[in-house]
Amino acid sequence: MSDEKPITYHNLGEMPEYVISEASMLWNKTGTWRYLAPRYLTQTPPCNQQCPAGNDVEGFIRLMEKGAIAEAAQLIREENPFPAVCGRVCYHPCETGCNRTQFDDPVAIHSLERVAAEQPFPATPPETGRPDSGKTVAIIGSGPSGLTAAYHLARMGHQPTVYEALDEPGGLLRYGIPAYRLPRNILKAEVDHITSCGVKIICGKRAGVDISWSDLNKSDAVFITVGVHRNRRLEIPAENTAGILPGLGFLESVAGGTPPRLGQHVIVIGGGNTAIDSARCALRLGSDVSIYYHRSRDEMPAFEEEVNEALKEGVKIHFLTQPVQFLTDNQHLAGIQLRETRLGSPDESGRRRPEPVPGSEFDIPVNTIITAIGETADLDWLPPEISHENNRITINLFGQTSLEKVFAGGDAALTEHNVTTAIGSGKLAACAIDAFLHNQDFTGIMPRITIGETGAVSVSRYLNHGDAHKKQGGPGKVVSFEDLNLAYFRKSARQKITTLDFNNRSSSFEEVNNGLSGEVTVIEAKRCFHCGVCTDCDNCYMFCPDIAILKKGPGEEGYRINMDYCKGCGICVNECPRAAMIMEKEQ
Amino acid sequence: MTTHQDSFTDKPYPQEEYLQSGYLSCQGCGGSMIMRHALKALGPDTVCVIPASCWSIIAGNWPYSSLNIPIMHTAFETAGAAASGVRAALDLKGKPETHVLAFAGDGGTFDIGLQSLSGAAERNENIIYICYDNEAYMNTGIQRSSATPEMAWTTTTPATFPKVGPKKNIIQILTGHKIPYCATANVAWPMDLIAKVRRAAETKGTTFIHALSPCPPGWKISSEKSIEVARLATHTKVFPLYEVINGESYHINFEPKNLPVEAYLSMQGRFSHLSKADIAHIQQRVDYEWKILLQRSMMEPFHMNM
Repeated sequence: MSDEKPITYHNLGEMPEYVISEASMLWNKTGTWRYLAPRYLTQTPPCNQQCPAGNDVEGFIRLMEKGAIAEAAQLIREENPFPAVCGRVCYHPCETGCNRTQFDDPVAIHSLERVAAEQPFPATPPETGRPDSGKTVAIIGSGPSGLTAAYHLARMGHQPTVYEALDEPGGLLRYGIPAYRLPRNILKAEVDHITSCGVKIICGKRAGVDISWSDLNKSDAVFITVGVHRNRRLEIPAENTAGILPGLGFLESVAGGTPPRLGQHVIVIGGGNTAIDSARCALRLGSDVSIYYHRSRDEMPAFEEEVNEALKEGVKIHFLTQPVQFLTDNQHLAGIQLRETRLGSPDESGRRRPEPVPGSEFDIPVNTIITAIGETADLDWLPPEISHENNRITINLFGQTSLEKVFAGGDAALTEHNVTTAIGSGKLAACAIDAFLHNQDFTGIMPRITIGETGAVSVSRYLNHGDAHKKQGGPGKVVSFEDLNLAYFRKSARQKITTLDFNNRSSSFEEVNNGLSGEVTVIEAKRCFHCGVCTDCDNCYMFCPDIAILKKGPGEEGYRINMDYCKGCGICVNECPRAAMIMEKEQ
Repeated sequence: MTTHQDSFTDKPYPQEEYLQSGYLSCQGCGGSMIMRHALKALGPDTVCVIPASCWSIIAGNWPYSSLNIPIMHTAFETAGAAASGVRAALDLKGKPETHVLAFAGDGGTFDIGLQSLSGAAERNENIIYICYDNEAYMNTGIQRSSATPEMAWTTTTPATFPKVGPKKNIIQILTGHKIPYCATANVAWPMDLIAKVRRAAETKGTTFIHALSPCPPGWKISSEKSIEVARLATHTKVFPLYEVINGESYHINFEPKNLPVEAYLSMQGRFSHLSKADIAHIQQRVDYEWKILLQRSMMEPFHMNM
């Protein structure tokens, strides 16, 4: 009954004696009825596109769901050498983009990444199949951007050397982010892993001071990630008085184990992450802390979670007040004069500009004031050929400066200052430098390796190693909430993390946030919708009215469509829970 | 990983096929899905009896058949009688284990074949009877049947004179025969349907499954919406999923999302002529029937009106 040819009887004698069927209908190729055809298409999940570090978020969650935590960690390290750091300090825009947000609560992606990072380090970084190139790359600055670029360049077969001005590697991760957010042993382990992958880090060498530009320029390529370390000044009277501390300098001394003596009451000026970190550090050193910020809560650039934790810990935040002048008594800081502000029309940053309220000045006596209104880069040492503007190194779309072999990234070259964006710029630079060292034109490569429409780049797609199609979604569009079929998802609560008891916070730099525990991890991972990526749920296979969707052979994932019989009804596409199929006109 | 919508059986979907592609169902046909699922539940030791219906055509014209099991095409009114005969013959041949499946549409069940079905059920013949209900005589050109819902359009009940009177409650007729097993099923819940056919096969005596079968041309829906519409039928309580054991004991299998009937009706062209008042009337009927079903399942008390 599997003859695919129609039967023709030439005479009565050939016909059966009674009415009985003699063949199947397989000769009837119902595929000819079709005017639209279904196709499996891996599309980009919004979390992947939103990640500034270009992590394959959906991919590692898929592995964690199956309990393959070590494989998940390795998948992250194909893109990002800092899963333990990002699992703690990233502001997780992936969760903001998560389609589950519109259903119940976003998947706790950062907690899952942190759990993956708890796995022991692999003996070698993920395989790239690249031989040694013999090319050298000098990287100035060992922050997240510099180390990420070094890690990937080493994987690509080059010899990166990282020069760090301070005593220990890590940049802002070590000297900017306090230990209660990122414990030092966690950072050290990931930096050590990067070193073990073939990256040389030389500490205590400040570019332009301990090592000259001409020496650096001897390498085949240079990557500048010096970060921003110069405290912005308020430009108000008596700013040089002792007792006024720059925010980043204060954090550096706390991180270095030599915190300055603070008064019983500390005032912090500013509303960014440095201000919040400084306030929470001062609190842990035993002071009462008040933050004064010249706009309102909505305009604060600090991460919302950090602001909430600071408030819970007892930091007071006063909005709509700006400093007028510092008050001195015999060359010593005696207090600060502030005045109220109100919000006017938006400025160039899009936030509403604070305007002083006349006659609202008031004085507060205080001995310690930390100013944290922003930082700028120190670029005075750069050769004149490398152009910079507004204290930012000028770079093109893929990180190249005005000199062909010199690239720049991280805070010193970007407008957005955070760890994950810095990691993303390190990856982009690694790919662009690799293309430069191989004399390839990167302009043509970049669109192929960009995740989604506006996302970061994918190193695994750049290397095109392994099953690059399954990694990091496909070239398809980003899946929106409306594209999903919600009939197949149940509401389930986001797993909560535990935090350090408040009684222990005012005296210790112990880590505040704890991770998810073992079995909860899988429950949380299972909440993922897997937008745009097939999970073999069998819906298309079960609902096909024409048995035209077949499972691939044993041991193989996925399905194939038998176009001989697919009538093009579209049920498979409509019932796909996660938009991993499309209907289209056939070529 | 499976994400089958809230089905209460977690068995994987059986992979053996007893149906071969090339059959003649329309795009998005619910009836062909029901046949596929049912045969997976019953296995190869099954004889199928098909009275006049869409499936007389779908299976293929002589000398072809797209089913990998024996089927007997019979006259419109004879599914119950023909299945009884096949059963008797198989029993005489010493094959009491072979399943006899009568697979009929709503016309052959609710209207023309009701007498022979009633006879078989009254004798409690050991057969499985599946009615795939697409709510009209779709094969002959969408004429109304007694399974057509109230106020629906068909070619014999045009929008200006839509169908008068409610859909016949076939489960109530069958439970009146006190047969051992009756159930409703829906193509949008294939694992549920398979579990019910398996249970019917394990039960000795006449078993009856009333399966809702969306029909894209007859319901005037786009073919890809077939499953979605069927799903809404259950979520709006228009077509609840339940079982009745021995004609007495009612079990609701699935808690509907209790969506307004408008969600179900507005997707279908055959209801596009309905006014707000018509929809309100249908909602009232659906709510009433659901209340009765809750009372029958002893999930809600009822009061004697004396």
